[in-house]
Amino acid sequence: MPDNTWKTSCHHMSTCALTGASAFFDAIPGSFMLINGPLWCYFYAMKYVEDYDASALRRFHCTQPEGNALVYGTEKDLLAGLDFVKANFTPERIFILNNCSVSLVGDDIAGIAAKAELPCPVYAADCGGIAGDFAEGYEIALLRVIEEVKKGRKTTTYMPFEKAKVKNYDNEPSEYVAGRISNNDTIPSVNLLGLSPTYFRGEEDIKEIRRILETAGYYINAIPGGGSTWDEIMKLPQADYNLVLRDELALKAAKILETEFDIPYLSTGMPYGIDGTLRWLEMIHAVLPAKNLEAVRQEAETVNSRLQFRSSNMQSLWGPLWFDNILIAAPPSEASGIAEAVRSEWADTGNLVIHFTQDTPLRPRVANKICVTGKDDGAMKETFENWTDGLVMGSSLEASRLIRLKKPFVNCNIVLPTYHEIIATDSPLCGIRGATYLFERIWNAKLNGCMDAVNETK
Amino acid sequence: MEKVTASKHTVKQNNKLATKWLFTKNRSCSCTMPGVWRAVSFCDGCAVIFHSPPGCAHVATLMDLGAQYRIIGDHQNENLDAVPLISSNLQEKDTIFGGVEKLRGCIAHVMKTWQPRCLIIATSCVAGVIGDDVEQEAEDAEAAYHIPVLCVPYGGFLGGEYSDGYFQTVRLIMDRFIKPQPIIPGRVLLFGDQMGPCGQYAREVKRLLAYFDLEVKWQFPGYVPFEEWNELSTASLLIPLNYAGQTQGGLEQTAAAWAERFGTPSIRDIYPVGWQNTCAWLRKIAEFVKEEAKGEAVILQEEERLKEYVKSVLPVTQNRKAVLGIGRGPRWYNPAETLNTIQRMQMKISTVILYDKLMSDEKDAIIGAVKEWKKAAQTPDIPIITDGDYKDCLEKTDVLLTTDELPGNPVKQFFIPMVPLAGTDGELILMRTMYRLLCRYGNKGGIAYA
Repeated sequence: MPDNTWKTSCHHMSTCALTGASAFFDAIPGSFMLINGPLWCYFYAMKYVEDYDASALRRFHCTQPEGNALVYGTEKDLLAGLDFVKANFTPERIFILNNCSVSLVGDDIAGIAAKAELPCPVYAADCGGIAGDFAEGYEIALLRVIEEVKKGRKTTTYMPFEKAKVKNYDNEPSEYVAGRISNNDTIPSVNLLGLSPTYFRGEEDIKEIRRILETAGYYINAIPGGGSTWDEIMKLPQADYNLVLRDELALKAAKILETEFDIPYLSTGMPYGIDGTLRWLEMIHAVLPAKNLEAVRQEAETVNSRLQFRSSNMQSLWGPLWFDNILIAAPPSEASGIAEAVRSEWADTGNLVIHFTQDTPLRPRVANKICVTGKDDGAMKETFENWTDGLVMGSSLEASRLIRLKKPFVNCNIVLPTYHEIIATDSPLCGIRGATYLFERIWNAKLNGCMDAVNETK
Repeated sequence: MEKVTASKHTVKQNNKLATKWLFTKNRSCSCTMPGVWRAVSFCDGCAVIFHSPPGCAHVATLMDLGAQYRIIGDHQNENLDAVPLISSNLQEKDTIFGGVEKLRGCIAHVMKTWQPRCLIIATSCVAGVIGDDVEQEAEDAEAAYHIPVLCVPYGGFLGGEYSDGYFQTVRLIMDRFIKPQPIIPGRVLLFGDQMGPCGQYAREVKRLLAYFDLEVKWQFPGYVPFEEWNELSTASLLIPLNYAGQTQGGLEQTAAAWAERFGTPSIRDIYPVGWQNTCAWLRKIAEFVKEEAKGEAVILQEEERLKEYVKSVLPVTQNRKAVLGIGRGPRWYNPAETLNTIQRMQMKISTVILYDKLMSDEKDAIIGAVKEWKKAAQTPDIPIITDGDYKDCLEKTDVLLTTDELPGNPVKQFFIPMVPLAGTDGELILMRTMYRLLCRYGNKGGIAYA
């Protein structure tokens, strides 16, 4: 068996599939999540979502099956759980999420749910840890919802969106009007796949991506798992194009949507840095032209000029934004995009190392060394043990390792878990606004490092 | 009908549920595997395999991470490095043909990558359902690699709680590696975890022991390098880091077994949690070192610290009204200590309320404990509310000391810690947090943590 079969927890940041599926379903307003599994798994998944969505603790419940239920079935526990939901809440729909051991039992969840006679639809999914990590769970949930979209096709005749939106233009919700050119123009429409507010600054990233695309002249049809309502998600087939922001979450779904509904897709990755955001937008424009790219270009130019000016001023006082080493540890889309932006647009270094926390074919040109969790555990261990000083862009896991090894570093979080930072502002990581945020954070990391060093010598 | 709204999500909620979490702890509420991990997590020379999906190992890592940052937040220089924790990465396909081969491959990978001198294997609920013979694999691995391989085949939550995994690992270590041998004077062994050597409990015990020139050499399990396990029975004094909750029965029993098997003198039955208990514990230590007079002097000195502090905060705390809210069963919580602290600060305990999440037997036990305290404290008039009708008393109180957060409630809330605070410093931390909460203007997040 290859070495990447095993998962070393100190290098492995992803939560389990139950969490990924919970995150996806939770992002659909009006939904209630019933975890069919032990309290421990429930708490783990719910708490992860609750860190972003304070309402989660009132929208999740747990069946707490006894050990015998794994032999005789979870019907009794599941019915009790559904009764609890029925007695205390009136959700628009309930998602039953089986944890890994319960998914082995093979209960007829739909049949049991029917017995509960609930006043709302119930959807079930096996999404325990044996299905994989967060990405796999998210994917399971997305595909489960697409199943419902497919069922809807039998009763709905979709009008091609370009015609539909011209015809219905006056009735469109007002927030979508901003991106339009004129009443008579057609507006290219897209679904955004692979976004989740549970990522680090995920909700802000979703808003920024939406803002940039709408400014450029795109209509955002739906963002499943990113805040779209059930009705919006059911209209997925109306879009002209599917944009896949994170392959690990949604590439498979995009391929299914292409097969089922003839919607082409483009794997875009996430837009980081100012140049990176423009390149990202031009890539989309190349396959699906929009009419107002210039507005985004102008905004990018204005912001970039401001950042360059600030950078020059700071360099005159503090010297160049140089780090002996830069470590970037994150899932593929984040790590590759941020690595490119950091080294090409803001900071200098002699050694940029990427730790991909999931396997990927991506090999960013700016990296001196690339390690993949599971495949390169030995090399990742060396990164920490041989670390001298520099900038760490990752999570509290990397900071924890270096603290315990007593290695000096400055830090800028880009992924969860983040135990040593409070997130209260609405700055995204990606897009143009995200570029200003990262620029500021990286500079301040350097400055704080200098100040701390002075304080330590006192 | 109440509508609960947060961010853009709205689910109509029919009945108001007072406490933050919806579950009751009527069944296994944790998992054995993190307990196994915690029992050896800082024992240099070990490696741990979870025969499980990777998410299970991630949970244990997050627990460790949270503990580390909590210690850093307590301004401690935490400098321990955790041993490798590897998941065998059980997947769907393994549930059909079994996961034993995968475990075998994982063991080989761990041996090659980390060369541990002792391997510990814990099993998940998935492995339990599949029925993998993990104990046989552990035996085979031991023969193949010539290192000890311990196995805790408890099947995640199926085999019990966190503490079951933890104490079973301790028992395996005791049985396998620790033999009776002559005691070496001056070697104090702390027994139990309570956030490890940098945690408040261990720090405070070390501080108090220093009065008697006793120095701690080890904290077991979890914090002793594998190479030193066989020396542990040379300890001249065993001090379990326990408290009154029944959940710590495992620690009590294991400490008793240790003392009996290795002949190690121990300070048991009483623990330095709450001031009265701290005094009793200090007297036991003094008796052990045959310095009873010194023990009384230490108690006086420590009590003086408490009195000085209370004096400094009385202008704020005296006659302020407090409500005690309890949703934690007797396995985890003893209300007497909190009630004593409120009384020391000369606050008025207006009501004790019990939350709906308590099971009926838990309610009975808690009511019994509160009544007992009221009798001892000669305060018979404090009402105990168990019917959920406590809106009025919360509106009239200055502070609610609570085991569970009441989200959205404007009352100032003090969260009673899950991990007990020990000794004089623990009492001071509790009082300081309450004082600061009473000084607070506005709500500021709703709840204060010690």
